[in-house]
Amino acid sequence: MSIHADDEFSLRIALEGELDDVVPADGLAGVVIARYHRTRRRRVAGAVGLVVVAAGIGVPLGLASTSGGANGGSNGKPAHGEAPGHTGSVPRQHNGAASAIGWRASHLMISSGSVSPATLVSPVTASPYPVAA
Amino acid sequence: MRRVSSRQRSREAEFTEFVEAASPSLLRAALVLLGSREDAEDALQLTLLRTYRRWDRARAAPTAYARAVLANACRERWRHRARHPETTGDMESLGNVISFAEAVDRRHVLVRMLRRLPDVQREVLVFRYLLDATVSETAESLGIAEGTVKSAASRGLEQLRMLLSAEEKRGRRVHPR
Repeated sequence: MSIHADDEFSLRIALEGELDDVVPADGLAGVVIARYHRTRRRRVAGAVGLVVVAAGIGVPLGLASTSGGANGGSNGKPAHGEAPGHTGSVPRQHNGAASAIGWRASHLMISSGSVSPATLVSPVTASPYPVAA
Repeated sequence: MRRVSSRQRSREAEFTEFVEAASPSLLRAALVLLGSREDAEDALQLTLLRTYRRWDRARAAPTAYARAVLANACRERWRHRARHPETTGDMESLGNVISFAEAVDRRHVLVRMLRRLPDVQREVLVFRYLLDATVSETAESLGIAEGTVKSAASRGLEQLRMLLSAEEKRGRRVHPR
């Protein structure tokens, strides 16, 4: 039998004749439906797992932010009337030479013997920062 | 045990009926497009799975929907082969390794000739003459213009005729059985 490919009918018949032994497996629909339900279950489980993980991370973070950490406030802000970390001193003011440098300088000067340590400012006994009354 | 509602049962029954009617021609089309029985069965199962997933939308015209899905599945397979040529082998690339399956495939002369056509021509011929799609249905399923379908069909048939003539001149009969 020859095939005239310019004849549509012949091509169709020839293809069908050649592929007549190509048939799908029995129960293909059942296999597909089972595969659908299996993948659907996995998707649902994945989505639920994602929600659980997000909640597991988000809830502690949310609690930490709302508790305000060590300050113990109710919404992250200091409680009304409470001075946040007030130490009784005014904010720092820049006053030129730092005390630590003075100490180091005093040690150096002691070793050189040119200046008395008593003339230098001690950071412990006399703070360079003015203290509010 | 899975509890099945009556709605789901009717959905499954409709789908089963569709699969029994349409899957042989879809499998043959996939075989011609992909050239390998394993790839064709994979593409068919993927096609049916995607169709069932969207059954509420596909049930109005499930055959047309499945045809379009099959075309996409075969194109995905072609792209996969292009990206991984070392892991995928088809009838031509296996060369001189002759297995029992290949010996069986040698009987499919017309399929081998169709495999030598360009992708668009092969798709159009398969849709028009194996899946019995009209010109407009083929154009819609493949996402091309109707004019392209007509010209690809004409050129594909012409080229197929030339290939078959050359095959016959080489002394092989098209249908040895």
